[in-house]
Amino acid sequence: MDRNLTAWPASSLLGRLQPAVRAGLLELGFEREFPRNHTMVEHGGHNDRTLLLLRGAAKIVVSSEDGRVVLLGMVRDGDLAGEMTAIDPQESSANVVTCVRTTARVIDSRALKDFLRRQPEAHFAVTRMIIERLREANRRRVDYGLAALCKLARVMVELTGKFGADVDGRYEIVGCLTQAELGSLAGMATRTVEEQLGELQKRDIIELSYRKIVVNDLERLRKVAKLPAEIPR
Amino acid sequence: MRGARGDPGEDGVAWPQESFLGRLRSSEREELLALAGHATYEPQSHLILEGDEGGFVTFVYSGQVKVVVQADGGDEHLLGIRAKGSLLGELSYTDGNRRSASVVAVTQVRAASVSWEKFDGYLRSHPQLAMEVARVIATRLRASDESHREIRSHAVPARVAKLLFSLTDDFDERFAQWGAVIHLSQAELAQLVHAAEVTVNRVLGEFRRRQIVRTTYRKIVIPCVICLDRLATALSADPKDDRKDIVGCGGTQPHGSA
Repeated sequence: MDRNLTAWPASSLLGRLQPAVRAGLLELGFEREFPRNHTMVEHGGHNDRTLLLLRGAAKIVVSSEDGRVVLLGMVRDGDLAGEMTAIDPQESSANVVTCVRTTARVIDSRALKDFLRRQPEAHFAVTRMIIERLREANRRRVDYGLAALCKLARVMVELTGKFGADVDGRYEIVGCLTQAELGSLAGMATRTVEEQLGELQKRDIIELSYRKIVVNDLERLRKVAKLPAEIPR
Repeated sequence: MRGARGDPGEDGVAWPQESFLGRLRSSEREELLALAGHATYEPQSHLILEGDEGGFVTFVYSGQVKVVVQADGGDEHLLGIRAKGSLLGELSYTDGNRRSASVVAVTQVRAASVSWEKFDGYLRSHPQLAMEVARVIATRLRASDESHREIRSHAVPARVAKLLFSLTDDFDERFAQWGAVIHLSQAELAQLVHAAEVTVNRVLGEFRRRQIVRTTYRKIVIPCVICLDRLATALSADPKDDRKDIVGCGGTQPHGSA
C-alpha cells in the first residue's frame, strides 16, 4: 500500500505537507522496524540521524543527573524525532524510545538538512512543529503553579488530543508512560501522580489498566483541567 | 563575558557571539539593521504584547528584556531573559500565530524592529539565514528541555547558583573586576528555577550569609563571579552536600588577572 496516499494524523508533520513534498520526504533514508522499548536515538550521541515515524509511537526522554527519567514529549506516526540535529547540529539532547513496535525511516541529518533547504514548505512545517513543542513546554512550565489535580488533568488532555485513539467516544492513551514520566511532564512527584490518578479514576473520568490509560469522559477531564469546553466540530 | 566577534554595536560592546545578530556577518547585519526602525524603551515598557497579532520582529541593541506570560489568574510568569543581539518575536513571525508572550524592558533598552514584510524580503535574498531563524527557535527548545531536566536533577540551591552564574555570563552589568548585577526580583528568580518563592528566599539568605550574593530591591548583586562559579560547580557535583565550606570573597580577592 502506498502510505503516501493514506491519511496521516492531521497534527503530524506528514499530515501537514502537500502530497508532492510529503512524497519527497518519504524518499529520504531507509525503512527500519524497531521493537517495543527500544532506544532509537541516544542522548549525547553524535549519531546524526533523524527518524520519520511511519507506524507506532515513541517517547522523548532524558535522564536527570541522579538517573531518574524525565519525559519531554511524545511522537507518533507522521512525526519526526531527532530533527533538531538537522537544524542545529549539536549532539542529540534526548533519547527517543519506542512505546510500541515502531516502523520508521532512518534519515541522515545532513540529507534532511539539504532537503529542508530545497523545500521551504517542509522547512517551515518542521520549524512550526518545534515552535509548538516550545509553546507547550512554556505553557506547562507556567502550569507548575497550579493544583496537582488540575495540572495532571491538563497534561492528560494534551496527551489525549495527540495520542488518544478514539474507541467509541473513549480515548486510549498508548500505555507506555510510567507514573514517574507523567510526573516529570507535569512537574509533580510520582507519589502525587499516583494519588491524583486514583482520584480521577474514583470519579470515573479515567480508567487505569495494565500499561494503558483510558479516558472515559474527556469533557469532564477538561473541566477538572479548568480548560474551556471544546467547541464541537 | 563570552567571546564576541565583528564590529561592536552602538554601545561600543561587541555583539555576543551566540546571539542572532552576533552570528551574522557584519555586512549581513548592516543590511538587516538598515531596514529597521530604532527605538528606546524605558524600564517596564513593553516591546511586544502577549495576544497581539504581531507584524514585526525586533532586535535588541543594548539592555536587558524579560519574556513573560500571564498565568491563570493574571499573575505574570517569567520565562526568560534576553539581551543584546537577541531576535525577538520569531515565533509569531514563523507560524503566524498571536504573540504567545510579552517582552518587557528590564533596563533601558535600545531595539530595532523590522516589519514581517521586510524581514521576508531580507530572508529571501539571504536564504541561508532562514536556517539561522530556525536555529534560534531550536536553541530555545533545547534550553527549555534542559531546564526541565535540571528540575529533576538538582536541588534548589544548585539551580539558583547555576542560573545566577549563567545570567552573569550573558546579561551582566559588571563592576569592579569580578562583580555583576542581575536585575531580577526574588519572585522572578523563583519562576526561572521553578521553585517556591519562600524556598528561593531562604537559599538567597544562605548565599548572602556566605557573601556569594547581596540582595537589594529587584536586584541581585554578585560581588565575585569566580566565587559564585565555584559554589555552583560544587553544589551541582553533589546534590546531598550543601558545601557550607564555600564562602565568597565578597569581591575582595583579585583571583589572578583576566
